Amino acid sequence: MRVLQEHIRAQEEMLSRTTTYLMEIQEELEQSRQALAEHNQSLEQMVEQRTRDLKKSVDQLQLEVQKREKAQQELFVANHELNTLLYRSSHDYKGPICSAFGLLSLLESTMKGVQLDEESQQYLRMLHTPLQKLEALTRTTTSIAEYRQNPVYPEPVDLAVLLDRLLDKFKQQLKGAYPEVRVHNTLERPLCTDAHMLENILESLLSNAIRYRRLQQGHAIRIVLQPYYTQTRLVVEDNGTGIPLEYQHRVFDMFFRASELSTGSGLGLYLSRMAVQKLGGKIEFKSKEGKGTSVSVVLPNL
Amino acid sequence: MSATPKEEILTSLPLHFSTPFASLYEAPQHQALICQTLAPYISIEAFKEIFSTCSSLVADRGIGRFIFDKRSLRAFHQPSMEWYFVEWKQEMYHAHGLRIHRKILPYEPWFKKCVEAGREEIYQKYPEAVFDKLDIRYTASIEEALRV
Repeated sequence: MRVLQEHIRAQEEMLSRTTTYLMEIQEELEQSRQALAEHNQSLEQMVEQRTRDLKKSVDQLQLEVQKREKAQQELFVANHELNTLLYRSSHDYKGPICSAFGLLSLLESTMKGVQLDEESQQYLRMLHTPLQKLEALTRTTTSIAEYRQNPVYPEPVDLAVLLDRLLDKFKQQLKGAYPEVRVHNTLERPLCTDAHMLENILESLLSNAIRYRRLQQGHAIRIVLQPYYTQTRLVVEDNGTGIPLEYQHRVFDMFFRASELSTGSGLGLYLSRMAVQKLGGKIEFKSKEGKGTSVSVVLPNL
Repeated sequence: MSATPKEEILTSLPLHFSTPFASLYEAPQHQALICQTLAPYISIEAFKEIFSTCSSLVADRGIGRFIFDKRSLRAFHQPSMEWYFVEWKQEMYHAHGLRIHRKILPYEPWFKKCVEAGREEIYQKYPEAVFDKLDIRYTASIEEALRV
C-alpha cells in the first residue's frame, strides 16, 4: 500500500515537473519564434535595400553600356572614315606620280639633242630619287589601306615560283650588287593563302635583307622554305649590319628606322606583321648587331 | 508486472543479483554491468540497495561500462534519480573510473519527456557535477548498448 502511494505520488510529481518543464520550453519557443519573426523582418528589409541598391547598380551599368556602345559606334564610324581616306588618297596619289614620271621621261627625251651644262644634268637626274621614294611610299600606304579594308582571298601559291620571280626582279635591279643567295626548300605542296599579301611579305623581307649589307663583307642571304607541322615556315637570314639590341623591340613599329642611314620608309616590317596577322600567322625576329638578322614567318593553310 | 522485453543476449550472461525490482547481469567480454529494472516503480530504499550491489560489482569486476535498462518503469522517483545522478555516478567515476553509461528508456515518448525534465532539473541544481566528463548515451536495446 505504501509503495503504491509512493508510486502514485512519484507519477504526480513527474507530471507536475514535466508540465513545468514543457511550459518553460514553450516559453523559450515563443521567445525564439518572436526573435525569428524580428530577424525575418530585418532580413526582409535588408533584402529590399539590397534589391534597391542592385537595381540602382544595374541602371548605372545599363547607362554605362549605352555610353560605351555609342562611343564604339562613333569609333567605328571614325575608323571607317579614316580607312576610306587612307585608301582613296593613296590611290589618288598614284595618278600625279605617274604623270610626273611621264613628264620627266618626256623632258629627258626632248633634251636628248640639247647640250645641258653639268649642273642642269645633275638636277634632272636627282629628280628621279624623290619621285621613286614617293612612289614606294604610296605603294606601301596603298597596301596598308588594302589590308585594313579588304578581305583575304586564299588561293594555292607555289612559294618556290614566287620566290624565283622576286629574286629575278632583285637581280635585275641590283646587277653586280646582287648578293649570294642560297635557298633551302623542302616544301612538297603549295600553300593556300592570299598571294598578294604573301608576295608583299616576302618582298619586304628580301628587300631588308639586301638593303642592310655590310660594306667590307661578302653579302649572303639564306632562305628556308619548310613545312612546320600543318603550317608553312619561311625564314630569311642575312649576314648584314644587324640591329642594335636597344632598338630590336621596336622593329615592328610604324615608321621605325634603326639608324639615320636607313633609306626605307620605316613601314616594311610594320606592314609585313600586319599582313602575317591578317593571314593568321606569326612573325619572329632575331638580330645581332654586326652579325646579321633572321626573320621567321609561319603561315597556316587557309 | 514486468514490461521489460527479455533480450536473447541476457540468457547467455551470468546473473549476479535479482530481486522483484531488478536483475544484475555481467557481460565480461565487454567489461559491462547490466542493471535491468523489472517493476513499474522502485522505492528509494530498493533502488539504493540495487545500486549498492552495483557498486560492489563495479569495484570487484573492473567494470568499464554500465547499462541501465529502465524499460519496465512507468514512474520514477525524482529523489532516487537525483541520488543516482549526483552521488552514485560521481562516486563510481572518481573511485573506479566508470565513465561509460548507456541507458535504455521505455518506448513511450511522454516518459522520455519526463526523464528530460528531471535531468534538466538536476543539471540546474548541480552545475558543478562532472556530467560533462561522462560518456552518456541512450540506446534502444542491450545489444546496442554493448556495441556503441
